Amino acid sequence: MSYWRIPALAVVGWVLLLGACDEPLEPIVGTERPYTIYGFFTPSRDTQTVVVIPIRDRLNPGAPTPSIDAQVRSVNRTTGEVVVWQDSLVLFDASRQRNTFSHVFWAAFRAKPNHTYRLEVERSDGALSVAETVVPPEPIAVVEPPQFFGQSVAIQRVIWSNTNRLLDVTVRYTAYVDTAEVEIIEIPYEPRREGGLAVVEVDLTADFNAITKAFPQQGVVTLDTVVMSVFSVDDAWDPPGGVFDLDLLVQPGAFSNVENGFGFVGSAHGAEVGWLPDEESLRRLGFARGRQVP
Amino acid sequence: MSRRFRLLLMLVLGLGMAVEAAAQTATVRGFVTEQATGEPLEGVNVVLRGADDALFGVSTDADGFFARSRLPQGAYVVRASFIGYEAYEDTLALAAGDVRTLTIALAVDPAQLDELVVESEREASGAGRLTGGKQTIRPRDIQLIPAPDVSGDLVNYLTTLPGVVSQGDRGGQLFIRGGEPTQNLVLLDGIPIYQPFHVIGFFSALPADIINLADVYAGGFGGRFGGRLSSVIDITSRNGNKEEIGAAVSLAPFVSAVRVEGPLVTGKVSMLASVRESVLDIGASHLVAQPLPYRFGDRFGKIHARLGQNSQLSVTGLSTYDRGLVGQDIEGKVFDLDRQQEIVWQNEAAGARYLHLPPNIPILAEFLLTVTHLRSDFGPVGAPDRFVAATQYDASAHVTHFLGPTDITWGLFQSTYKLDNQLGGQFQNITFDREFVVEVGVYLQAEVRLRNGLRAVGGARVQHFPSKNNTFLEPRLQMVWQRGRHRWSLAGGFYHQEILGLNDRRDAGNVFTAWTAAPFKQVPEAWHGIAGWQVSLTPWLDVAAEGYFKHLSNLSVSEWTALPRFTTNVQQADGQVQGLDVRLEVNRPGFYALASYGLARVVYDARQRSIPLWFGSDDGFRYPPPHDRRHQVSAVVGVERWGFGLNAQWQYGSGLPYNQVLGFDDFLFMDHVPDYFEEPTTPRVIYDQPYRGRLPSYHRLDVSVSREVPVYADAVATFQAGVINLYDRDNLFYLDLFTLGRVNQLPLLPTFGVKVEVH
Repeated sequence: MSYWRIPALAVVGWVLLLGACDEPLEPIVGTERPYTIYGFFTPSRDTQTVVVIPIRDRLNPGAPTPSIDAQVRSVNRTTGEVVVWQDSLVLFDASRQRNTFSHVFWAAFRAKPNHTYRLEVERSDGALSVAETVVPPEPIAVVEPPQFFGQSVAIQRVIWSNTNRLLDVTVRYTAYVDTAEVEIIEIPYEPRREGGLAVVEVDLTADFNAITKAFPQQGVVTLDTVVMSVFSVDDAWDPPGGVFDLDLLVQPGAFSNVENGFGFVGSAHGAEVGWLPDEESLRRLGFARGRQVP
Repeated sequence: MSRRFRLLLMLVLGLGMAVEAAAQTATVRGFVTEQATGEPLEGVNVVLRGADDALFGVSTDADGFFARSRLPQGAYVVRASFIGYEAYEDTLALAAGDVRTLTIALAVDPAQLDELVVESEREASGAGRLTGGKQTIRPRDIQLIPAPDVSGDLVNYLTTLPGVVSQGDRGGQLFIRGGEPTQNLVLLDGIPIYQPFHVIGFFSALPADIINLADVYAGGFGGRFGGRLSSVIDITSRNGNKEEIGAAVSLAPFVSAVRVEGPLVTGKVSMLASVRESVLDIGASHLVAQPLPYRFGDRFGKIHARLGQNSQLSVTGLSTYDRGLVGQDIEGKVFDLDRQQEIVWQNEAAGARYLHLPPNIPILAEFLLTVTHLRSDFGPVGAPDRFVAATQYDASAHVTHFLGPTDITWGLFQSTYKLDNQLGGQFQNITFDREFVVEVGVYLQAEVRLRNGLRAVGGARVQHFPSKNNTFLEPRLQMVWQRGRHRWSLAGGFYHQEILGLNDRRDAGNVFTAWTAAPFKQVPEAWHGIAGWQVSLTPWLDVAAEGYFKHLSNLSVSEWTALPRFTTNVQQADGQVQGLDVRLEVNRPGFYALASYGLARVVYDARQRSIPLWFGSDDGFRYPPPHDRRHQVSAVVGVERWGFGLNAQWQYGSGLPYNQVLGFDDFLFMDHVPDYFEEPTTPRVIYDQPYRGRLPSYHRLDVSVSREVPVYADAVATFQAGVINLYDRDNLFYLDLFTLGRVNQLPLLPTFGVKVEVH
């Protein structure tokens, strides 16, 4: 059996050699992109804000730090104005899946409609993430009279022009019963596109049912005001396929306009329109008429 | 006249002509058993020599059954021989139309005792006798592999085979030639077992010493089997000793076991029972000085009865349970409290099998009634929030007509599946309801043996699911050409899997599996193709090589999401598997060696919408799934010297794919205009292209030494000692990308055990 010994020894040697070797394991490949940024420019607020997130090598960002290695500035590409933004640490309650802090950078100015803004976030080593956005103009609303279908279904169309896409569309009803306190009921709506317009069809009948549920006491509900608020967002605020699908958009890069980074920086122009349906419509819906909207 | 009706008519006419031909000739059939135990002997050569020296040969199957029909009337000498046994010889006078049933009991030949254990069991078994994707495994094969149990275990043998990939030493998940574990059909005496391996990967759901044989079809299986895409492991248990009582008790740090067998009616009815319990908490955990939070056990029972010369009945039952923690590394360190979860499962299975030889017709009829149930719970320890209950009832009949050189086998089957999944939204785009699914079907296959050594088995299987309005026609083919020492084989077929297991493979540490009817309209299907060559260079040296491919369609796999969550969407994918197995087996008295190499490539084409958005491809995404092990090497050596048995096994597997990460950031869902002072962000994984990275390779050396010592007149004690992972390789089980926690497989682990057997 001596002829077995040499190969056997070779095998044993090879096995021992393999056993002594450690192979590298590099689960974190790393990226040259320094930041993820979420934010928007808006003429509707006097302070602009963005969240800046340094890309890290651990899932858990760890304990909150007072500041991060980031310089944030905005450039109004239309006027050339440069603004340096300030860092702030925002703390949140502990939550299983959410972070407990954010670094929100802010700058005190009101964005101008139709101006182009460039946001730059720079690390101390020069690594830079950049996003650019064009602020949309103020949207314009036209409120059509209510239309009744059959005995009880009333729809009121609000048509918005001068906008590419509306987000956060809500109809806010102010109502009361007799001398009870005024209730404000907010009902979200989804607009739809008709040509170049955004159309919101307010279902007054369904909303009446929701409003009356807010008043446990008996009596005729008096409707005081109806106000629709919207944000008109810029062209880039348009998810792939036109649908905000969490499973799709959570993928890095799936919905991003940040160069050399991740996230999304857009712009939004808020607007409101108020009205009160005519007396006959209110009566048919079951409301008493409140004060006229100015 | 419709084509179907004409086909049926031709079949009936054909069988009628065959019966007519049989009436003019004679048939000899019967069972061959071991005289001392009454256990069936497979592979026994039964040769009939006629008056003109014409020879008619046949060999026995797993039931010890043989049949040779179309024998001209006349006088014959019948001889049954098997290496290690005294030959049986008798004379027969056959008249036209005779159907003679023989019962042959072979006695062990003391003069050939040394040869017996080596040669007799490898007549048709062993890794080197691979044919058309099929390999037969015997208990002796299993005992060659070092294991933490004195008796060895089937799963340890399976993982030495090329093309069989195990993700780790926990979870008991085997991927056979590219298929998923839930695509393997595992049968015990014809009963499907849904979760056939214990939570510790060294143990299958039944002990090795109750196994008579296991046929492993790595692909290309015939018409008798269906309902799974990848492979079949068909385990036949022993019947138990019909002549005398036997018992065995074994103690080892992982499991302890008791086995009892013996005659209930001597020579006619036998029983075999086995109980195993894990003792990790009081045994192995002290050897590695680490907690091993796993418990498992199994109970097996079988009664086998010979109901006269022409029929046999057996009843088999199996009950298993497993319990283990997920999210804890082998050192007992909990690296994420949110992931400290427990998985518990139980298999309950029972079945009855009836074999019948009608007195005057040369056929073998087999009837099976089985029920199997899996219950699996997953969630926080003591308060599981997900469960799966799957119950399957089967009734089938299989009839083989022996027509000289041709055997025609047909079968009818009916299955009812009751599936209940409460998954807490684990798979978000699938609605799980309590489901009842009925399947009915038929198969027909013909086995033709030609004079030039060519054997062909061809046929088709038809499965119909009335409630799903699905009908599948699956052609199957196998060809074997024995040319001198060389054997060439081809096998292939078309397969569907209506009832499938869903598992989130993103989490390698979790084996929790939902069983459901195909969630999408398109049912998973596969084409198999196998081409092999095998040669017995000497009586003790076999070489086999086999190439294979599988084309898989409509698979259900998890979507990738950048959110670190344990829910997912299911997406459809197609797959391609290609591979090559090469084996060399040496089997001499006192020495055994097996060297094997497996080359494989598995790729999936997924259809997830977000992948093209992230990585820029236009049409889906191609990736290697986490079981794509490209290279495997295995070497097994067994030496018997000075009364000791020394076994060693070395395994190597190239690294498995895993998801690498570019980094981590936070996510805000921009479906609205947010207020950053009110809305916290959510941690997110910026992952690289899925499964682009490769984990470190896996290799391990296990050794064991054993010795049998007579302790009393009929009692033998076997002492075994060994070491698992002799050079203490840090083999990675999985890496938790959320915490970068590394979970290793078992470290160096000394084992020892003793088994006392009484005959």
